[in-house]
Amino acid sequence: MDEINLMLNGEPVTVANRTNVQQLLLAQKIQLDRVAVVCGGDVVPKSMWSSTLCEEGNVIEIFGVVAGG
Amino acid sequence: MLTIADIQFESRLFSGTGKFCSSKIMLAAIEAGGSQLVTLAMKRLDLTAKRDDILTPLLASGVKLLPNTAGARNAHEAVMVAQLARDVLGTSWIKLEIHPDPKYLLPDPIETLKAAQQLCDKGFVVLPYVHADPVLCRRLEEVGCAAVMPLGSPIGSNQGLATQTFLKIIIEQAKVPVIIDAGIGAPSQAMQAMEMGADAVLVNTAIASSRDPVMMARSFAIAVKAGRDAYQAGLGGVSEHASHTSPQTPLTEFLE
Amino acid sequence: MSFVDYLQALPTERLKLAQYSATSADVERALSSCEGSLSGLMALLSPAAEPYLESMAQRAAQLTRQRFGATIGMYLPLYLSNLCANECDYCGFSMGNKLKRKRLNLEELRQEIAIIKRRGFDSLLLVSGEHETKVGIDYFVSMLPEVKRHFSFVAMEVQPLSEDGYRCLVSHGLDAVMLYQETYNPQVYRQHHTRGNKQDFAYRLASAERIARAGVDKIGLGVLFGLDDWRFDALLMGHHLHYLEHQHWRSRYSISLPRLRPCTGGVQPKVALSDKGLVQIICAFRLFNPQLEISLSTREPAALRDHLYRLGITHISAGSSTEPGGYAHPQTQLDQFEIADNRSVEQVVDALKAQGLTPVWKDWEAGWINQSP
Repeated sequence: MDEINLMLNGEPVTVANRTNVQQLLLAQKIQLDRVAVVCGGDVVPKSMWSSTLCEEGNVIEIFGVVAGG
Repeated sequence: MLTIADIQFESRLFSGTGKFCSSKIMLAAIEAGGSQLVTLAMKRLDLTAKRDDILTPLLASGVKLLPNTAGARNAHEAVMVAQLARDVLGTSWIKLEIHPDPKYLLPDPIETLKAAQQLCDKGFVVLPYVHADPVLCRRLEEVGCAAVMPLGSPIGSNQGLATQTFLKIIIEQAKVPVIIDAGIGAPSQAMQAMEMGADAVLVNTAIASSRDPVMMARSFAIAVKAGRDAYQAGLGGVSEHASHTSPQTPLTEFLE
Repeated sequence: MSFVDYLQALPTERLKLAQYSATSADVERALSSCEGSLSGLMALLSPAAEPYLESMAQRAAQLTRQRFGATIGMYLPLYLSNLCANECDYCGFSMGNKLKRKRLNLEELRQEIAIIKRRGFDSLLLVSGEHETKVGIDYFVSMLPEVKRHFSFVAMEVQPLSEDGYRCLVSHGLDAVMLYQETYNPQVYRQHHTRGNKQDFAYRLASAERIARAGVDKIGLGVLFGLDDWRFDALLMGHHLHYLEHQHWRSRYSISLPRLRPCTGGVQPKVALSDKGLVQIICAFRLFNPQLEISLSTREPAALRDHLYRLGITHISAGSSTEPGGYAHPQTQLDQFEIADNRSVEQVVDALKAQGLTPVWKDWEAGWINQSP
């Protein structure tokens, strides 16, 4: 299998097999120091991004900071 | 000087960053108000939209950031959001707010206590947003919260200190700083909170939704300072003892 | 921070000076809002408050009525033992004193209980001298169930115990512990407590915290007024109370106000507490703490007691004996202290009723409380 399918912030996304979280973010043109990632309901800490591989069917959520009270 | 956890604050006016019409005005208002602690929220990114980066200028301004858990409807979600915020912002400070009720956005005391316990255990500096409930505030203190943030009135309502009687009890009892959050709609109300002995107030809507947020922030800063000064100077008591309405039987005559 | 550390860190000399230089303006401010304010309490206990005594009394009476209603809780002491391993120069039980020492056995306890119950009491204060080996936790555990069978509220005034000790007694039905520091001045304390475990000022001082942690419902503080400057000792007791209410907010608190009387041969008070001073303390504490329970023993004479009920007193004893076995077999030489109000229970009750006060014999029933896992 060369490609895997993910759900990324509610949208289906297809990426190359063995893509890690950091590569996924870069591919989405996301500034790395501005976001946090949840994969399958668990927080993936920044330090784990480059060693965490995306897997078929992963539900990945990217969170950022917004204004709030 | 106000100390929360191990951080000192000169300004006792904390600000929210929501509801401003632009981040430029938001930043100008924070600067004018002199806030050293400002709140932020966490949100799932809309990957298709252009993102308005408020973080870069806020980080540059040097204020301390206090992410909140708004949007969380239970303890589990709040703990998750706190972890996300810590991962992004590198701060273990968290304003814990859990409101499952979409109409009045009133905080859930049971989930809040549960989440506070878990977050404190994980080493977070927890500032819970709660109803003005003195017993709950004590319980939150017992699990290790660094401050408590009881509400004055429903969030965004500008109704002021509708919970005054209970806020007084909380202030009297608290061993951690008490920050009055939510509902403060006018500088006079912020001043009243400070005169009562609150350690700080958190204001957002009243500043953000005013015609001139910068001027309003400045006005809040003055009110907060005046209220704090008045509290420290010691307000004159409201005299009750000198004006009895009916003649009384002397109680100490037997000592003569 | 424990209260032992708190007291050590307190700038006592400066505080004392501040108390004696309190002004009438300070007193007036405290009169309008003193609740929870230690500086207010300080002003109300100061010499500057004396001209305001009537105003304080009016306010205190009003607050007491508002909080407690027109009632007085009735309790009676039951002396378990007069054995004591301490030398305290103000106390009749002091180990050096030649008197017949006695510890009640179960049968004697039953006799006392029967008489006390006949008089209508349902709230009991168990008292003993401080003798760890002969009148220690094992003895208390052996006697408490019998007592608890007959009284819905049981308090104890004995030597300080360990936290586990208190917890064990709670499991046998103990509701309250009275433990008086006597004085908050460690130097003065040392002068008056010259032998025995009671010499350990800090252990005694830390006891209230152990009692609270053990889950005791009510904790009683007290100073023997006159050992040291009473104004300042009362203020420090206020600090202790304030500290405890904040740290251990699930407990109820009470204070007692025994005073050292000048008498021949005995210890002379350093600063004698007059009736007027006693009234000032009662009123000051009421204004400082509307929910505080204040008890008054039969050490005070009848005429004075009858004037004090309305000012802030919430609990009294009547017809007390202060010797072990004294209800069944009244003697006089075993007493801990001399009783000044010798009236019978009926006479005291009549005096209460004449003032429109209702004696409360029972205001507590554990029932389902403390039964949950």
